[in-house]
Amino acid sequence: MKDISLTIDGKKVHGHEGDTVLDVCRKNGIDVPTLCEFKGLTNVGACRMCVVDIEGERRINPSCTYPARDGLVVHTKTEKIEKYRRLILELMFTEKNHYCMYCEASGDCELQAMGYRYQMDNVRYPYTTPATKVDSLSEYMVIDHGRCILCGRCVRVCGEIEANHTLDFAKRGFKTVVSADLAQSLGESSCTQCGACLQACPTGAIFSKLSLYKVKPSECQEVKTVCPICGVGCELKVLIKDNNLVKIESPQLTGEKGPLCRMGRFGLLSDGHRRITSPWIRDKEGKLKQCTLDEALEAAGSRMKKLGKNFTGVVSSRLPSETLSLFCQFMKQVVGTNRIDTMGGEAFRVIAEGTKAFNKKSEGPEIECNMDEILKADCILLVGADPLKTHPIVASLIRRAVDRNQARLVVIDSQNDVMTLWRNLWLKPRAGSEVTLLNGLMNVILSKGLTKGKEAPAKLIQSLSEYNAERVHADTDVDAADLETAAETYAKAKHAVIIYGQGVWHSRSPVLVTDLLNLADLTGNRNGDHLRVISLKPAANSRGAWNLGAAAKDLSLSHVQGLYLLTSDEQVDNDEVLGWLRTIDFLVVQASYRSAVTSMADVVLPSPIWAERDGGQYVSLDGHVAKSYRVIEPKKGLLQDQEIVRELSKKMGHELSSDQEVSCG
Amino acid sequence: MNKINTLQDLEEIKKRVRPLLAVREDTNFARFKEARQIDVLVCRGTGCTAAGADEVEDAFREAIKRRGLEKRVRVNVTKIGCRGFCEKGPNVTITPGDILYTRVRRADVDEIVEKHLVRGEIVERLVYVDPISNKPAPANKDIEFYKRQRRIVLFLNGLIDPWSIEEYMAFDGYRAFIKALTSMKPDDVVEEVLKSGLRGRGGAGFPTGRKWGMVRSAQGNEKFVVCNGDEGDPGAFMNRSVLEGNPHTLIEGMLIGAFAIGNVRQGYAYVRAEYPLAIETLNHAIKQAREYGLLGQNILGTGFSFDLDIFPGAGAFVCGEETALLISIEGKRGNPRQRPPFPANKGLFDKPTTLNNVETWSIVPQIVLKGADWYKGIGVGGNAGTKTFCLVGKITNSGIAEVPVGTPLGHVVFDIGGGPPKGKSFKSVQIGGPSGGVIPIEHINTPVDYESVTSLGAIMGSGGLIVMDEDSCMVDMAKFFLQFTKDESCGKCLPCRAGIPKMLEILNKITQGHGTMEDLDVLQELAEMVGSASLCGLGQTAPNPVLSTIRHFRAEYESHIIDKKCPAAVCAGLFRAPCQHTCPVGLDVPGYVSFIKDGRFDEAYRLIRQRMPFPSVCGRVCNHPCEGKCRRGQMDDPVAIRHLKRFAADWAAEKGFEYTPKVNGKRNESVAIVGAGPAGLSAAQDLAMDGYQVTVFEALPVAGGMLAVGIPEYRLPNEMLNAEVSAIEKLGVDIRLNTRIHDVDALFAQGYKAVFLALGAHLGERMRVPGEDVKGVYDAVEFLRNVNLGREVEMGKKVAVIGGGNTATDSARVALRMGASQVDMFYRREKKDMPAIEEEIVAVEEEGIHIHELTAPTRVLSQEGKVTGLELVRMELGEFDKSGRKTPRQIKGSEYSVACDTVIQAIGQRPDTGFTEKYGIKIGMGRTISADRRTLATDRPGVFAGGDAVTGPWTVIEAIAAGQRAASSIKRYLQGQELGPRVDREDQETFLIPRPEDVEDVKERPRVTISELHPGKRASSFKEVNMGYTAQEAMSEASRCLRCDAEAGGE
Repeated sequence: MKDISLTIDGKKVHGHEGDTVLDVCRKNGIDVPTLCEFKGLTNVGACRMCVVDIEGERRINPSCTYPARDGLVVHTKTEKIEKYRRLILELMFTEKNHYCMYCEASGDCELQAMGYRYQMDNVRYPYTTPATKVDSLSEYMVIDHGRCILCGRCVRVCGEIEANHTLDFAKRGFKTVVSADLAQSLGESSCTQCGACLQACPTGAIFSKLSLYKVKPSECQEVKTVCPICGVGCELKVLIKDNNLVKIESPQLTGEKGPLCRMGRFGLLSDGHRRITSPWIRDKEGKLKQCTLDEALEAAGSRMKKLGKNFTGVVSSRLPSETLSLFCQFMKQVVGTNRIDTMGGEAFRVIAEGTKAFNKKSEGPEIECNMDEILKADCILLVGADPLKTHPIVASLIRRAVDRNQARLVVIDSQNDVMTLWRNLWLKPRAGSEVTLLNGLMNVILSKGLTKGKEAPAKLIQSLSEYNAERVHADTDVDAADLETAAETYAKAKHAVIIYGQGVWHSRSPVLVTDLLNLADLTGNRNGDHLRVISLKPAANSRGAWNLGAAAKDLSLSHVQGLYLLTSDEQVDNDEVLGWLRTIDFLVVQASYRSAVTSMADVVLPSPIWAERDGGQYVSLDGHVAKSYRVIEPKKGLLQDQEIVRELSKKMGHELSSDQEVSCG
Repeated sequence: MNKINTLQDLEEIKKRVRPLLAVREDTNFARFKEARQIDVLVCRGTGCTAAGADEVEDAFREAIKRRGLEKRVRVNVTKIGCRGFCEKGPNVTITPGDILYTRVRRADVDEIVEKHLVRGEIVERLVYVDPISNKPAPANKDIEFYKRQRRIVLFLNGLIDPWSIEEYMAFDGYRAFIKALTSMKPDDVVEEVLKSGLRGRGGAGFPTGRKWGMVRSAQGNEKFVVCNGDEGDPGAFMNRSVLEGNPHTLIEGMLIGAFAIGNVRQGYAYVRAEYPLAIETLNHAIKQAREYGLLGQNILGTGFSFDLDIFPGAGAFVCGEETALLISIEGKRGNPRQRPPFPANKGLFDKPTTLNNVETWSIVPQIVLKGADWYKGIGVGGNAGTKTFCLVGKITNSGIAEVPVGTPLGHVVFDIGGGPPKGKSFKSVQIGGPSGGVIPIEHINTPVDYESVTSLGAIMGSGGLIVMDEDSCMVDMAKFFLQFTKDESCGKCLPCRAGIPKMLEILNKITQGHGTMEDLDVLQELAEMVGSASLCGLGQTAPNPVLSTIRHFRAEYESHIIDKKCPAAVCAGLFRAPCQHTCPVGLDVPGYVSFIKDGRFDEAYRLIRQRMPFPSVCGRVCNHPCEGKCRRGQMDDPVAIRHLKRFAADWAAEKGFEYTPKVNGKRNESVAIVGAGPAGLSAAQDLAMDGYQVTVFEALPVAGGMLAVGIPEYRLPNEMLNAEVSAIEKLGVDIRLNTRIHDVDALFAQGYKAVFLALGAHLGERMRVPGEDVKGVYDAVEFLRNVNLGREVEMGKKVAVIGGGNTATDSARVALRMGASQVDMFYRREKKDMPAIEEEIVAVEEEGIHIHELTAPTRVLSQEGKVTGLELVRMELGEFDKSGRKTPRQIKGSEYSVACDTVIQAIGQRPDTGFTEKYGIKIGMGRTISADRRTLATDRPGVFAGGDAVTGPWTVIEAIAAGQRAASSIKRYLQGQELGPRVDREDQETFLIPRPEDVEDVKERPRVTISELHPGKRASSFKEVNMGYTAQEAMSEASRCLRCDAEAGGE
């Protein structure tokens, strides 16, 4: 980047070609007030607070959009400029209903701060007091249009980062409002509830129902940790005050995973369940009643000892690797069983089986690529996945790719038309015929000579040749034309990414996984050792759990006599699983919340929630390792999961070593 | 399909089609009868079509067929494009002969066909009549409106069928493009456009050639050309007329641009969706151009490819702004974005883009064809080419005018536009639409070019030219445009979105009478900020109407703020009724008119009298500014307010009805009033009513001032005046006649606590020509005074009166009554510019007095010290002066002489103020006394001045108002209060004004004419000419009042 030099406020300063005047000011410590500007979003020059005088220009210009040039002479603080800024600020205050006293954002408001900066002790115009609306129909957010300064940050963050384009401006002139879709309430709109708008809003126009009037952010402590939900591995900035969770924000709103999703930003705060704060035990009448930890451990330990290798352990993969490891160690060394699984372990078994042929060294997902490949994609094949439901940030990345790269999105799903507004094509194979469809796709690619990179193995060509369009159509109901379009779209793309999800493992068909990898391989969609394929694994530390081998065993809902279920704050809501749990003779549940599962347990052990948990290691779905941290102190008397496992172990006459990493395989 | 492959192909079409169109250029009606081809050209522009041109066109086809005319001659009925005379539509032109029929209805067609087409006679009743001269102008070429234009952009409008590409080709259409494509280098084309001096006709005036050059040299192998046809200014429709009347010229211009700029394969014409006909016409033209191989791939086999599509705008004014327009084409919300980068580098889809307006693109073919020098030679004073304007507003000829850039504004407004209708006086033009500003009458000689217009705070804009006259309020006008920009602001940047509504709020406050002078400062400060800090052109220029009206019409703002007066009587929040508001003394016109209507004449009289002591005088000689603002006048004639007032006064006099105002208490201070004219006496009455001791000193032997010695008996009988003067005396006012006061100090020494100088203007101005000091040359003021006082006046037989004001007409009519056998008036300007009130001019001519216009005296001829004649010189009109009239200039060598024995010079009066300065009272322009306009205070404390002595010769009603204002100031002065704007005295009596009945259907009905003495009987006596209304007539006339007071007051 070429160096340029400018004169700002009489000082010689330097910047780079491509910088705006504002960039140069910031780099050189020259303070210019801004309101609509937001790091990582396109600058629009709407609020006009950053106006500067540039010699040679007839009018004053916003520094946020003005390209810096060699030799430019800029004045940022002339009398006229400061007068205009104050005038603009006066207009801004009087335009809408800015009454700080009643505003949630008071004390944390950029407009208010600007008012102080310009010593706005009065305004010379009457307040317009327009009759503005308040939209509170959204689950987590409220929009008070009366406090909106129309800076457009929310519109831009919704369009450029979350890439959902729910928010835009409606009407014009002084009637302009931020509008969700076609003037709908946010709650009824296409809003993904990512909350990025809320975080970007400089005033109290958009605020969170969960943090409403709690405490000013400036009075909070901040703790950074990693999100314990889905495996995308978003970093969270958690605001706390007096050991209470106040608010969750993104440390890098406009970054790759910046917007966060409704689960990470709001879901982690909405604690609507009843906590378990002490152990429970089922008495002789079959009723659960509170007991001491000792009693509970005694009951559980003795039964485990008795059943030994017939006892089974299932653990939530939302827990950090250290806990998982300890759990495995306990099951293996103390209970003496290798019947260990994680919640959602079936996914891993399908992936592991399917990737076998592609992993020389070990089984598992190493063949897959990084999530940032999605942002570079010009074509995305979405197979059996609904990222908006399970991995909302992946949906955001896909939308960004569609927006920025005009990426083509092809959906293969036998049930749902996912990402309807974004996809170009939906192939809807009959349930169970997905393999045929993929073979058909590959066949088209081969027969049209659209392969790239490695030459296709003769065996593969041979095996695919029978999947002509007619047969595919007959077996899958997918039109020949659609099949061809999909094949060409995918194969002709320069940078195609395949994303697959729960539909694939629910079908329990590892061939599907192999086919998807084959498809990527055939078309040269490879980056070094990695094929451009991503599986949306079910939980935050799924990959960590599998690295430990905690999901190797397919218990397949078979009859077990005893089960130690460490769910912590993960909920079990699968009817099939719940039915299975009922068949178990002796059930030990270690959980944070009361639920259907705890009510059928024989022994209930309390577990801290995510924020109370000691820190540990998480491996994201694309293999990135991050550390989590304890955010608040656990409720009084509550032990960490690991401590309970250790205590249980002691009860059973075993001392577990503290730093031994044990593979569960 | 006639694909054009070579220049030769084009030539052949021209050769074939042009002869068929020759008849349309034949303007000689004499050749109509032997014509072998007749073309009936029906204008099918939006205006004419909306007025029913489609029916008219069909009717012509039917009627021609029915009569079998086609068997004898070749008759074509052809659609033509807009010629810009839309107000007169539907327009039909018949050639040869170029005869224009306006406002043609279906029912007129048979007559036209029968009379014109069959018999070769012009249907007089449908031809255009010049509104100034009232003479018919049957041929297009005779119409002043067209005659003085220079049409190059519009030259084919009205000549060719816009739906026929071949008719365009017949006039060398597409020749320029083929010339450029086959024989020029792109750089040469750019160079030619640059050399021509063409500047963007969208308003900003950026040199087109430079813009093209910038895009040509911009990086990128995909570029666009775009036409801005989002004409959104209120009252502007010149682009529409090109799109509808000659769409191929736009296509050709864009083709040339695309070729010159290079790497352009696609163009867009952004046309507002409100122009469906323009879109349809252009679409058809594009289709034809594609069929002829002029748009599309590999044009003429040269490898050059270009196609054009229309993008209909969705109705946002802001999309006329270039970045918003381009973003709108991209399919996004049409908000502007901050420049730089400019579209030349980053335009449509971020590619380098050339955006020009319809008019700019459309002139390009002719520049390429005829050369840069041709174009450069057209403008005035270094400004190349022409500009089309839409003349609208208070203008006689509204429509599209194309004139060379740099043409003086007055030329456009008066010579082409015919000035404001109904003889109203021109005030200003708003140029450049909502983004522009006003140019006031003082700058009427300003050349209309980019720099001159900008230097006056306006902009050239796309060419909207809204004319305003005396009835237009400039504050209201600023409000109108601000309301528009407020609604059309996109809302993106704060200064525009929030600043404009705040400015509008302040303006509303001012027009409702709640404004303060501080508001004006805040308004100006806001306007400057919005103009400077807004993101795009809309916000940057939106304050222009405000800033330019404050700049040029600050007094009008102050009048709204300080005096709570809207001089144009527009801002309804300030008044009950415009007549009352306009009356300098604020007479309750709707009140007394409605009393008269109900036959309650005594109440009518009392209502007038309690406000003002001279009902009878004003009922006769007032110049009635109220009638000029009467709402009824917008429908037919204004209500005869003055006549009604006179009726009430006459009725009271006849019935012996006396009205004596009450005197409130008694005060010891005494006040001296110098001059017993209307100003002095009005002040005297008001002060006496408040109990002050008032003495009026009058130099003349009679009271009444100019009313007594200036206005002749036949207009104002003395007995009427005397009765009203004596009513004032009854209040205890002491009038001392034959007492000339030349010592102000002496008055104070005598114990007077305050002095009001109401001296009048009794000294006549002189012609200052050789020989004027001989016997028989009179000064009009002196002449009239002598006649009025019954003094001996020697009167000749042949009298020449010099001047054009009321004194001149009075003198002329008096001379006639004094026994002159021939009276001639000589006036240096045109008759229409005479300052005398219109009914006087009519009366003068009725009485046989001849008015010689455009002539001025140069010498008085005499023999033996006695007048024998007058040498005069003819005048011609030059530039406009500050009053909007053209300045007369002597025509050298045109001197001539007339014989006469008496010369009366009536060219002006001034007050006799020689004595005042030594008493510390300052003298201003024209020897008048300097006094504060609002308080009438002079520089010397306790001394006030008003009436003609301050204003120079003016009207009776203004003098009365001045007297009242002086009384109010003197009272405040004597009571130690701060002086300020006039406060109306509280009414002594409260009247219950009749409620207006529901006026369901007001039918047009001219005013009731007033009986007058027959002109033949007038010369022999001084009997009053105007005989007044009968009670019946008065009630009938009064019932014409629309009672807009009730409407405005929300009764």
